Amino acid sequence: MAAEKSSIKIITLIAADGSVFEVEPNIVKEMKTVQSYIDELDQNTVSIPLPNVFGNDLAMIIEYCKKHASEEETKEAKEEFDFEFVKRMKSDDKLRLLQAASYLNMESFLQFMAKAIAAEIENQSVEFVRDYFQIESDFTPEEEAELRKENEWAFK
Amino acid sequence: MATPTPTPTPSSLTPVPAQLPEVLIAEILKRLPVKTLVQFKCVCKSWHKLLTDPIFTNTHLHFTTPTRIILSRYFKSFLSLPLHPNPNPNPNPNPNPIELPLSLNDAHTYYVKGHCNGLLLLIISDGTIILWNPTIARYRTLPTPSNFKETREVLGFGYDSSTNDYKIVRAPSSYCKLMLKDYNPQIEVLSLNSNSWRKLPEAETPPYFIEHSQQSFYLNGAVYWLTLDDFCTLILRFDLAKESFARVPPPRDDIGRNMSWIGVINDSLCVLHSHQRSYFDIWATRDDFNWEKMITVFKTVDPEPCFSYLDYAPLCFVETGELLMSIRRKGLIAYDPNEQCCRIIALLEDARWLQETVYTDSFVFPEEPSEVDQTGSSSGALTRVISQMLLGFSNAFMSRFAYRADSS
Repeated sequence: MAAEKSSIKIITLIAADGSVFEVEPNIVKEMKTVQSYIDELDQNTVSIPLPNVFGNDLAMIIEYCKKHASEEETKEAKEEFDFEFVKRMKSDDKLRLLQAASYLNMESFLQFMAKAIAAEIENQSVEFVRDYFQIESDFTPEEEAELRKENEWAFK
Repeated sequence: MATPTPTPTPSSLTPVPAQLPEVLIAEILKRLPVKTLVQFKCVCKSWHKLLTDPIFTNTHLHFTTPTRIILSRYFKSFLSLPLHPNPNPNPNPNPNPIELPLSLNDAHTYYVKGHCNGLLLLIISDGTIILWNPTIARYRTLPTPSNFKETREVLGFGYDSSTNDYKIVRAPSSYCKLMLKDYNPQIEVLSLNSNSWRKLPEAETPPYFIEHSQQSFYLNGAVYWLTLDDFCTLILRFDLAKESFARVPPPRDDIGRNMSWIGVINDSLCVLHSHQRSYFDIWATRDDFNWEKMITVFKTVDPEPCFSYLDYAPLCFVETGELLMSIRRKGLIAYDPNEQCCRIIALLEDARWLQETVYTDSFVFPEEPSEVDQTGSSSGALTRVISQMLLGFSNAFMSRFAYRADSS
C-alpha cells in the first residue's frame, strides 16, 4: 500500500485561522481526507492546509485521535476520556466538530459526535431543536397545528 | 506532539456553525427513538421530508434493535414487555408487562399472523383482518379474501422493497385441510398500496399446509414458516417480490434430528434443532443456504428440567448476552450461555395460547389508498405522505438493559 511506502515523519496541519499543528502519521490515519493526500507523496515532511477547520476544533480532534491511536491506553480509559471530552463541549462545539469530522472524513469520530448530539436532543421539544440547530420553521401556523394534531400521541 | 500556535484573530475563536447538511442531520436523527422523531417532523419542512423518506428508513433499519416483546394471549389483551428498563436504574431487574389497549379484541379471540417493521397483522375471530401499529396506536381494517375461514387461515406478512409495498399472502392451512370438506387452497396476495386481493396462478400453490396458530416470520423480502412433509419438518419461504413459494434447505443433519421452531434472531433466519433431552442447538442462516450454529442451549439446569424441546421458543439476545426464551405454558426465561443457567423473567398464568412477537418500535403506517393517491397526485399532500419510517432505539438504550444473571 502507498501508506506503507510513504516516508513522511511529520505532518503539519494548518487550520482555517492559520494555527499550525505538527503531528505524527499515526495521528492522521483516521482523517481519510488528509491520509489520501499524504499517500501520494514521497518526502519527509508535508504541510496541509485545512481551510474548513478552525484551530480550536483541530486541537480537540488531534487530542481525540492521540488518545484513540494510543496502544497503551485501556478500553476503559478511552471510554472515560470520551465521556469527559463530550462533557466539556458546548452544543456549538459539537456541531462544528461534526462538520469538521465530515470534512476530514473521519468515520468513527463522526459517529461519536452524531451520537453525542443525538443524546443531547433526545426527548427535547421542537422549539429546543430549532434553537439548537438555528432552524427557522417554514411551516405556516396552520400547517404546524395540523401536523401536531395528526401526531398528537407523540407529544403526550 | 500537537503544538498549537497562538491564534491570531479573536474572531476565529467562536466561529458560528453553519446550517448542517442533510446527510449530517440524518446521521444524528437515525439514533433517536420513534416518539422523539414524530415530534421532530414539526421542526421544518426539510426535516419533515427527511423523516418521511423511505431512503432514510432503509438506512436506519440497521439502527433498530428490538424494543419489547409483545405477548398475544388469544382471548385476553396484549401484554408488552419492555426490553430496556426506565432511564432511572431500576432495583427490580425484571420489567413488568403492561397491557396494550386494542379495543377490537375485547369480546373476541385473535391470532397474530405476522409482524414486520413495527406492524402486527391480526385476524380477529369475527373475521376481520387488522393491521396494527401498537407504538403509535393506529390500526387499519383490511379487506378479506373470498371464502375466508377467519382465524383458521394462514397469512404471511412482509415488506417488498422492489415495489415499496407491504404484502400479505394467503397460504394453505392445515386446520382447514383437516376440518373442511373440499378445501381447495387458493394462494392470494393483498398489496397494501392497492388494498385488494389478487389470486396467483394455481401452479403457485405449494403442496404443504401450515399450522394456523403459527406466526409468519419476515426477513429480507420473504416470509417463512415451519411446516410438515409427511413426518419431517421443513422450511417454507414465500418471496414477496417474485410471489412464489420455495423450500429452504435445512441445516445439515446426519442423525435425523427435527426442527421444532423457526424465527428471526439478529437478522438471521433461525431454527431450533433438538439433539436429545439435555440440550438443543439454534442454527442461523443469512442467505437461506449456508447455516451456522448460533448457540447451544443446555437444559440440565432449567428451573424445571422436564420441558420438552417442543416447549422452547427462543426470542432474542439482550445486551447482557443472555438469550430470552419463551417456555410454553410457563413464561419467559433468560438463558446465560456462559454460565449455562436460566433465570425466570416472567411467569405467566394461562399461557397456553401465548404467541410471542419480538417487536421494534416504529411509526410505519401504510395509509389506506385514497382516490387522490391512486391518481398519483401528491402536490401539497403533506399529511398524506405515507410514513415509511422505521426507527428504533440505538444501542444506547439497550446498553442500559440491566438484567442481572443471578438465578435466585
